[in-house]
Amino acid sequence: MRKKISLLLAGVCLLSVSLLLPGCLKDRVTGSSKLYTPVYSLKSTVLANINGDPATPISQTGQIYIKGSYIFLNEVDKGIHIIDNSNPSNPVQTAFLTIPGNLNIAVRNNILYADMYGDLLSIDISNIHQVKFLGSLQGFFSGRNYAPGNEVITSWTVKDTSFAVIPNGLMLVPQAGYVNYITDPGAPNALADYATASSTAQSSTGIAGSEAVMTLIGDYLYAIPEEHSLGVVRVTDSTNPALITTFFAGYDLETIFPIQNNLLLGSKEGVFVYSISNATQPTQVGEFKHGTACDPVIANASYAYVTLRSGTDCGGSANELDVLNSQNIVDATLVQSYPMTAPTGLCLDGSLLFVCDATVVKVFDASNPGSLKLLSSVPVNNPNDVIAANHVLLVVAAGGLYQFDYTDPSHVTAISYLSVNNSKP
Amino acid sequence: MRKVIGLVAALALWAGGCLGQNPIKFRSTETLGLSSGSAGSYFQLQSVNGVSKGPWFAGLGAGLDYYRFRSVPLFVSVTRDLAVGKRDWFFLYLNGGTNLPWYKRPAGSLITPDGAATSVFHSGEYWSGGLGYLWKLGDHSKKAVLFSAGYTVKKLKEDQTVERECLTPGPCTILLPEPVVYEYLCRAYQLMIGFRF
Repeated sequence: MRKKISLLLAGVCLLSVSLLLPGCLKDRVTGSSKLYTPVYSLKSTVLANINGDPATPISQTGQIYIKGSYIFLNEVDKGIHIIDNSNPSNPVQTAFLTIPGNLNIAVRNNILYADMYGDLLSIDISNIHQVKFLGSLQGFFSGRNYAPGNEVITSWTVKDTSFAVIPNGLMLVPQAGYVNYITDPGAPNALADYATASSTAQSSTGIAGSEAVMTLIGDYLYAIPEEHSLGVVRVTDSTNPALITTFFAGYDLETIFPIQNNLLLGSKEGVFVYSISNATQPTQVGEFKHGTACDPVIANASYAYVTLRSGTDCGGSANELDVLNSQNIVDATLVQSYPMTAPTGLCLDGSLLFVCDATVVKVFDASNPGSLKLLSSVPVNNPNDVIAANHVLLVVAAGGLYQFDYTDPSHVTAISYLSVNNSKP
Repeated sequence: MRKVIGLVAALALWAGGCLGQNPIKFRSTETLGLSSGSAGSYFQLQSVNGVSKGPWFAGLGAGLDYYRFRSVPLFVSVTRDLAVGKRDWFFLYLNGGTNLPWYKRPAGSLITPDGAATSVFHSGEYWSGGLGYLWKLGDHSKKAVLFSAGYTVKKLKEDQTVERECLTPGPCTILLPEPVVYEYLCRAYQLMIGFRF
């Protein structure tokens, strides 16, 4: 009996130890990552050295823009590759503009407009090999003003770092200094619908993309300076781009596309239609709402095409192509939705519709937008955007810049490929 | 991991070698219990199967451990019985092996100031050891009930990759060039009851 009692007591003691002592134990969580610290340079120095090495390798493709026989390809946060595409089967990198923080491009006549983090720059590209900085509108892209007024981030020092984390089981990403704070966004960007853009924009401008955030119309540049605003800049004097206005234009704005004296602003929640009849004071005249998703939008006189992409960065669950009746653009209605895998940029050439979708570029016969007919699927890994003109399909993808011949849209053939870091397609 | 398995296997062989005279018998032990540490108290269960020879036992075990992150320990187990009476005795146990993650962070639970993150867990070491008490159900029965108390250490690794919001308008996915790697060292007291046959 005594033995049983002592065993019982031993059990009670063990139970007590197990329940009372855990407070003495501490779980340990250590994290390791890269520590990024910005390196600043004077803006004046950066702008004086804007002509970079033409042979700068393409490492991270961003937005693309074409003007004449030149392709302007954004190197994310680093600058712009200028590629001579006189012969699409042999595109040649002819110049590189070193513009830290650059993501966006627009060209009118011989003036290139580009962002350098928060600043909008105007650059004379009459001589592509010796461009000249003309002027700037400081702080226009208000969401990207990171450095003191006369400085700009030109590079980052990187070192491995370890840190202790207080484990709470839920939020474990540390916010220590610049850890996780990088400006190396792999921003897939886009091209525009050649046919539509040509009909709506003046011929002195180039062709922007379905995911572009700035566009030139007449004497004005319209842009999304931060994700809820629309800004208007007068560019009559290229040495002094002048801010006319910025105002709240909708939540989560992503893209801008000009059509028939209107601007279509793609947002994560829908498409906002702004009239620019009064060029300096755009006014909202319509809105089409859809589920939450990333959504570049393009249009012609009759129909608008919107791709919706879901994901952690986009929210929502839709992956589809929506066709809207845009004959009455202020009251666009849904014509048809087509399921997609992970659609991004898109463009039109006459009755042909090109849509980037995960691992292919889909070519549709859009003669009847209510019943698109798939003609072919061109394999391209992670295509971001496309532009189609004169039977040449230009595709910007994570792996580089591809060109295809779509003379026969059912049998699209490869013409050339400019690779990222000499990778293989 | 090879070191861990090697060490425990060596112990098992040594144990077997020490007792050449006793017959080898199959033995199975099923337990359930609690792991209690700074993260709280969590349910766990284990099944260990192997062979015994005299007071020594060596076998392979598998379990389910909900402490902090649900995981599946797979381990080599060595037990030494310490005779006390005919029907009851104490025993020591040592387990070592690998700890396989069986945990996914709930969608949306890793929203950080920089955006959403993805996470992937990887396996780590598993150790546990302690003291138990066993009571046979009959004089000639192999069946017995047991309870034990011990200490357990399990490790896990997690790769987190943050997808940040764009710094400017426009659809994009921004990934950290390198994921943040977390190493979890989870320490807990272990209290178990079970059945041996």
